[in-house]
Amino acid sequence: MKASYLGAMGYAHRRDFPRAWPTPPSYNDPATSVQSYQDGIEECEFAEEMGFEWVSFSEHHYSGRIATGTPAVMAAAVAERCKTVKIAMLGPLMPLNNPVRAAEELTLLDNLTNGRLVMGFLRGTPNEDQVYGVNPAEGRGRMLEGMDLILKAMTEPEPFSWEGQYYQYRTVAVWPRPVQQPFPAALVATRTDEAVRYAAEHNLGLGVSFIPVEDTGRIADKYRAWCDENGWQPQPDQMVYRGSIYLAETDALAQEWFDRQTDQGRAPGMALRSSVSQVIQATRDGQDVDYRNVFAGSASGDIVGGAPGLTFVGGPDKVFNEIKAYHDRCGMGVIDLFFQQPSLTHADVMQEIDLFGREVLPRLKEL
Amino acid sequence: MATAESTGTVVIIDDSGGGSQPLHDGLSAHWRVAESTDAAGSERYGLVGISDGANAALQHTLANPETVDVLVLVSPTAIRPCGDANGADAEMEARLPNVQCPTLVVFGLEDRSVRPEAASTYRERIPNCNVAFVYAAGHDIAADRPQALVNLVSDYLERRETFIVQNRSGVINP
Repeated sequence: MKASYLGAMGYAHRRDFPRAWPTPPSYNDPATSVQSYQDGIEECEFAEEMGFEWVSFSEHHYSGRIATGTPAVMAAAVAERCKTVKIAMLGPLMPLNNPVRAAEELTLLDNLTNGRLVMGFLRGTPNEDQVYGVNPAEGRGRMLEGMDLILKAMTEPEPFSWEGQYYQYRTVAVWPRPVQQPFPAALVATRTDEAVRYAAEHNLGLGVSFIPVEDTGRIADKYRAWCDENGWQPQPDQMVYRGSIYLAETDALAQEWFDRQTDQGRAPGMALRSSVSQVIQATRDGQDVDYRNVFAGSASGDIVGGAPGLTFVGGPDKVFNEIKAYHDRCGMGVIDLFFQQPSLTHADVMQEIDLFGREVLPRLKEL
Repeated sequence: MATAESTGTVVIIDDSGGGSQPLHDGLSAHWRVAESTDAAGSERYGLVGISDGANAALQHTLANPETVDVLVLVSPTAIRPCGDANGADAEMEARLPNVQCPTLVVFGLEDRSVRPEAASTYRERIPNCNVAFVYAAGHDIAADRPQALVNLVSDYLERRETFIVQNRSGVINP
């Protein structure tokens, strides 16, 4: 099993952010921000040194918690410092992005890394739909069409026109061609049957994030069954689980830290006003929304939701066994880990990477 | 989309058994749609061929370059059909450079009746050729995405190769 370090590039003082999304830009001090990105890059370099085989990036907007709204820019910077790891773009959010632009960024990254790119296609969290004004009801359709267009743009040798449902381009001729042929290693990060089936039908890998092992296992079972129907089986590198981690020297120390977070009310962010959250979810589900009934939120906000909780908390043995369960039950071959919990400093994260590299990773590699 | 000023004659050749009806209906708002090349009269005309009809339209264009003003091949199977032992009609492929009029070749993205490289072969060999893929459509594009096909073909018939130039307004609040 391989480990991937999620290069979140969190802002150093993210523990002070209000819970609601978006985080106001007034919280950003440029000098602190510059140093935060340098710290984040250093963490990626150290992860590579400690034996992580991938470094991943994820598109998230309007917050310093995962401060990579343009992950291709971040990936290009890190790829110049990390010379051997796979650079995993997990990924561009398909409903938000111009697929042709995404294809151009991805093929350029595959060239800059001489074929070290892994690309993942995601729909994004509900709040993200609002960043570029995408109707939540169209997110799934845009994701499916966007993936088709990106793969076509990477493989078609002559210029072409695209007559889609959501996209129309009369001239597509993406440069450069990818180094990996016919296209870079790719996966679909999803939980929905429609997108899982798409991955199986197109020989693409599967990414699952932030849900318990049994739920992940049920998705993985379906995926493998549909791959089988299409005459192939995924390789270990094509099955990726992304989880959140806090690793300490002992289970007791990890639990002590975890309890402290709860006492201080430091739940992770990306939360929304309840009215907004309800409307987004209803629209995503294709339901009619009666707006007269959703504007009843209080002035203080009624903030709901937020990022998922920690998947792996404990000392090395406990964390190893928790990760191993995703390998044994679900067939996951790559574990993509988010270390930058809001209350941690750069030094804390470096210590965790060191501990993980010494005490957990060698055992994972034997799986 | 075609404008109200569009004029001229379009001939649709369809051997697929009535699949051209949405295209016929869509184009007839702005063009005189003739049932055959014989019925087109003496003027130059646009020629649209569908499936095997596209192969006939291609043959007709090569034989009558003086009469075909613009050519649209929808799901053509003239070259590189799947299941063909050779995978290519070498004679037809060799003649593609002789097509003199602007030509649009349209494939459904999920069309499995020809090999994937067929599209680029048309594009490489026909001197003035555009290739378009229609998303969420198979071989019978008129059935799968009728409005998309009408809009695409209509725009090409009117503007030929300049159809790549965006002419829809992006203004939201003037």
